Amino acid sequence: MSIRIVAICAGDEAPDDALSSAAALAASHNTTYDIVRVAGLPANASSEQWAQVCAEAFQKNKFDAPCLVLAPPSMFGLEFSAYLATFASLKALGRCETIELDGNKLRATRSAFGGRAALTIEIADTNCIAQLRPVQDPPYAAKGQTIEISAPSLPPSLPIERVALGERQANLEGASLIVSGGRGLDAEGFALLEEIAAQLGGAVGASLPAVDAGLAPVSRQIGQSGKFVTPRIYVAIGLSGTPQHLAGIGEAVRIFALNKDPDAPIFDFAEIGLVADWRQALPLLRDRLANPR
Amino acid sequence: MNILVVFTGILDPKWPLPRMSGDALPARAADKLILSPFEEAALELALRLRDANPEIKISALICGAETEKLAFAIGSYRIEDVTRLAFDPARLWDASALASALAAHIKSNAAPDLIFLGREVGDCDDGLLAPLLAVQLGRRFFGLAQDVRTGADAALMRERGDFAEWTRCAPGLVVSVTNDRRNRLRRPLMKNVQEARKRASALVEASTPAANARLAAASERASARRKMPCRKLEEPLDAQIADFADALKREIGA
Repeated sequence: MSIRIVAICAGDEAPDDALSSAAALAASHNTTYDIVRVAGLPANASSEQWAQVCAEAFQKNKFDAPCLVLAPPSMFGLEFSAYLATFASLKALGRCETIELDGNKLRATRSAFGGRAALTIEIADTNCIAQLRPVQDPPYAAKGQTIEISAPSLPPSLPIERVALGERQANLEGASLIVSGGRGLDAEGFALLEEIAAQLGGAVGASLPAVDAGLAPVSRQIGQSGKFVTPRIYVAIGLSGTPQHLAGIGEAVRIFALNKDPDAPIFDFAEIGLVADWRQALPLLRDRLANPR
Repeated sequence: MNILVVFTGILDPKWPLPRMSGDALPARAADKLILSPFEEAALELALRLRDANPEIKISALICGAETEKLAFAIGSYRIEDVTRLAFDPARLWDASALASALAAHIKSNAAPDLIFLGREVGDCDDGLLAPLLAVQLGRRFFGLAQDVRTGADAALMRERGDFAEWTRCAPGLVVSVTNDRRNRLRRPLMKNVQEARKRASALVEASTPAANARLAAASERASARRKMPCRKLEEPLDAQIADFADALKREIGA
């Protein structure tokens, strides 16, 4: 018996996040994928509420084991996975880099130890839930069943008070260009990054050490333990290029790097490299972008 | 109010990973274990709640019998009740199994009002464990907390998009904490470090569920990303900047 692939359209994620990875997985295994689509939930519904609604759908539409459910590859999707795994008795596999299906067996590869190790998990005859990175331009795979769920009444969610944060920068999600800084910068450096990102119509990102140092909010963190981003261009300023940071950047993203260390590993992955101290280079870059000659 | 902070520790990234062979995780040598930035943030938020209300009691639960050094470090923050849960380190890749073991232990003891964890628990978790633990305990979950407001209306804060989201520190909550400039862990007082050295942490057996998946392979890697030849721009700096800016502008179609 082969494993059935089911994509969840959940939360306020881009609706094709789980769909693109499901389509790619199905195409690579010459099979189809099913969709569970929930309608009628408010935009700020919690991951727990989504999971409760989906769990009911799973009970009503009995899926023959084994089945692989793909959830959106975000923190929301991760929380959702934990809830749905418990409500619907699925094995939660977390964020996977690759998944191979072989009859009733599934092999999933995950990153661990801050991106320094790869773990391969093998499981058989068990319903699972996992997250796969979205795929740009996934190959065609035929859709199977689409289960539409409406959610007329919701279980209560955790009481949360929402307060607007005021003026904010462009979001990392969906940005076509990201200008990102590391621990080597200071507050002045990040202010320059914001100016340059605004000039280029991009968003500002940061490494974990820069977030730890208070140079950028955690919502800007890119990497193994932060966001996974897929802009067209990633401008890495003062970033050494650790595996943990690179794990948050899509494989197809083109990197432009600026670092004062000519041997920084980031240059091994960059298309264009500029070897200079950011204190000298960033003001010049800002001025050049503002006043081209 | 009682707060339980759950830790696992990570292998210090300053050191290379111990050699991995076949299907085994790298050995967790006690002297190479440190708190992760997320665990430090979770501890700091708990300490700030206690600073504001000395009635609050903090206890610590650490996964792994091999965590004596971490137990001392955590005890240095005037945390007298430190328990090590002898979870099999070879199963740390399995968030479901670890969540079950933690839930079983927590259920068999006096229920804490609040449970704090780092947003990732240990080296193999990517954020699944905290919500798994919450749902297994039948508790509400607040993920990625960054800050805490203390006092009578104590509340936890996280940022989501254009909003700060606040929820009251109500009993029955499991909270995962992420690193933020507002929650960097303080240094312990030397007298408390000395006191902690006199105390021993309790070691209890873990109730580990049967495995329904297996670790088929574990391997070290430098980077998942492919290397490529880099066109390094030539001196002088003005010319490099011009090239760099022009390349960026071409890409954005300006």
